[in-house]
Amino acid sequence: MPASARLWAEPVEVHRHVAYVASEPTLWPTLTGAETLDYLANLRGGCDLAYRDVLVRRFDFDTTKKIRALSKGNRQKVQLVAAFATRADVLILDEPTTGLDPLMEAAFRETVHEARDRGQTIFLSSHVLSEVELLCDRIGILRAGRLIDDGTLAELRHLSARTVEVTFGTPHVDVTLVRELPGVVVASMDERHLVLEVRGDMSPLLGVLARLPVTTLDSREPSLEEIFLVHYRRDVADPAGEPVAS
Amino acid sequence: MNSPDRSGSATRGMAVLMRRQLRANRMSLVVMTVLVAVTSLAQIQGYVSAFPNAALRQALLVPFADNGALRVLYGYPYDIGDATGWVSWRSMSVVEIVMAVWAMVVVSGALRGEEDVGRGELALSRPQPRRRWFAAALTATAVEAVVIGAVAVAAMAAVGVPQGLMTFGNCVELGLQVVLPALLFGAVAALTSQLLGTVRGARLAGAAVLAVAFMVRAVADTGSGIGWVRWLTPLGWFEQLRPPGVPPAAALLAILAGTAILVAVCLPVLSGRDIGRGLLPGHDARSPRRALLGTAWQAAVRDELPQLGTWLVAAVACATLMGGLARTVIDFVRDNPAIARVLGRGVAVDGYVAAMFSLAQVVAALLAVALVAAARGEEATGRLEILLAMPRTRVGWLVGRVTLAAAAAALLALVAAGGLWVGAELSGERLDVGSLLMAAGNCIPVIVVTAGFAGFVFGVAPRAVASGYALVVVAYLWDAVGALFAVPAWTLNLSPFHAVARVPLEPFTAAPAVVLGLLGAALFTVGLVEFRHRDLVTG
Repeated sequence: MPASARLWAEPVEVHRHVAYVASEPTLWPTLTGAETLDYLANLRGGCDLAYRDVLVRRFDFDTTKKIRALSKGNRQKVQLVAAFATRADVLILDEPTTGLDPLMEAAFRETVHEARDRGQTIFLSSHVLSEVELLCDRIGILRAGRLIDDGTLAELRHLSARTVEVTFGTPHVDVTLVRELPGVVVASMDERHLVLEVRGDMSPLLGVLARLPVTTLDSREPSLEEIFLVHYRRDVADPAGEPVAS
Repeated sequence: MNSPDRSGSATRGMAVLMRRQLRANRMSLVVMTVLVAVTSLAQIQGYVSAFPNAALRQALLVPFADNGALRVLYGYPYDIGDATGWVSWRSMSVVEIVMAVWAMVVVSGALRGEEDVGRGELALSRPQPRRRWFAAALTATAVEAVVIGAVAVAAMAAVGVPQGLMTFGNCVELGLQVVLPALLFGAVAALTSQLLGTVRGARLAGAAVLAVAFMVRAVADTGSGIGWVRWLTPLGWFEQLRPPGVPPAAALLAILAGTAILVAVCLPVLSGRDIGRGLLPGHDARSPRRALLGTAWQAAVRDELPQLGTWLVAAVACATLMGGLARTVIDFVRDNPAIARVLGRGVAVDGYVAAMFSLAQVVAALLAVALVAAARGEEATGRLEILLAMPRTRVGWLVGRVTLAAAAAALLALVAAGGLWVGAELSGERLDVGSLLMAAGNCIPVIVVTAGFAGFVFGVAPRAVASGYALVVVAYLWDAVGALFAVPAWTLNLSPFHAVARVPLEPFTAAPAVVLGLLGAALFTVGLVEFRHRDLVTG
């Protein structure tokens, strides 16, 4: 049986290796945090209790309160603590940081790095692209339920243009040679300032610029957000998707 | 956001909110309308067949008038020589409790329940003031209560007036005993919803108010020379409406003023408290209680314990009261030589127990549906997704929940048997334990088929699980009133309540029990297969 078929045929066996954090932290309102963590551990059949205590402290979580009395961020902490404490081989986190404050986001990042260092695989689905850039080794972009691109951040950048900004010492410099270069598009231009989008090798552009009165040159990689927008602007009518990363 | 159109938004906002309420309750509205109308009609027919002529009536009514247990159950028998008074005594005393419970469930669900699941915040973040939201919930409930009452009045008028048993005015007087309890206890639930932070707490507090009101009314009706105590309890006010007769102004005033005061007390609390919280401080923190957290069904027992406890306590209380009546009914049969000669004393006892268990069966079946509906709540809120992401099977989860529902319903039948025995013992009548246990066991086929049906609906149409309630009520009514319409016997047997033997009056029959058991198992199997393959449905 192929691996993909076994995933569906043996859900229980698969779930033994997977921990999941749902995007909506709807838990049992009458249970306290400690009771919820116990219940989830019992359902799974055990967890790393020592590590769970570490996580409870790290996330500064009050386990005596009932779920009903907790904010969304605090309910999210219950799910995160329960999931990471399982030490599962694969963690699936669906928008895990909604409702977390910046301090807790830092605690989350620390925990993700620990899990990665232990060799656990994490699937993180998020609309917070800065988080994805910061945490993920490989990034996939989903649109309308299909994986339309995936790779490391560097690989994704390969397809997108880098932005090059040039400032000239004299006004009205003739940039015809720049315009004629393959893979170079002039995004905007005023008296002394030129913004270019460059694909592929930079050396032809640098050759041309070397002969012009350049005072500053700034080149930057496209952000994940820009890469994402490039994918989505291809077909504006399509429903919004989300990047998935691991 | 557009600035709200001040002139039109109040009525439009109210209309939108009310429509939402009416839509949310449409199933319970239909069930209650049919249930109340049929219950009212049944006692008109009951009156005609029990008392064919005036002379017989006087003789037959005496044992009823003097019996304490009957007074506890139905209230003081004021005018039971008259058809309207009889219906008021026998039907409306039960209907008023049912209407009060229904109104409390609906109002607390609309007010506290919406806040409990976080939708209250959503509704109130729109340009709808809290008071409008509150008013819409109460008004919608009142409209529904009036609909239920109006249909009952029309039904009674259609049957009672042509036979010369009552006037249309009498029917309206009876209708007041249907509608007013819903208004007053709806207002009670409105207040408990302000005071307590959870829908469960609001309902339990409302149930406690009703239980106390019932006990005070029972004391007033059984004691001598303490009639004034009746004025201390809302159920006494409803009793004092005393159809046939123009409703006394004092009783009407007490009911309407009581309702108005309760609502008026709610208003300042409503605007002063935090959304999602009650006025009374909830216990939001405690040291962990780790019992019953091992598996999903154990956690379900833990979660449903207050609900389950309420059902079981109410069942025991009712069964004990009914048990206390056993001696009266048996004496009644013995004192009527014609009836006694045909039936014999043993048959009278067994007939009584069998009749009680045909009621217990219905309550047990409703409990089974309620517990499967609670399992559906686990799915609707999205908690099931978290549960099933664990290394647990869907089949295991649903089997656990449906088995729990059936087991709890069977337990209810068993404690009802215990209550009957105790009640009878207290009134000096010894019931045969073996017969009681047989009768309780005889409830199991009906419970199995009901739980199986609910499990089936859960699998194929999860949002429609509450239709199980409707099916139970329809099946029961079909059994109860179908005979009056002289429908063919095989159609009566379509109702599981009719199909099973009336143990211990009749000997246990295996065939219908086996058929119902297999049917329940088959339905549940289909539900399981469907559930394994379908997507989870939230909301």
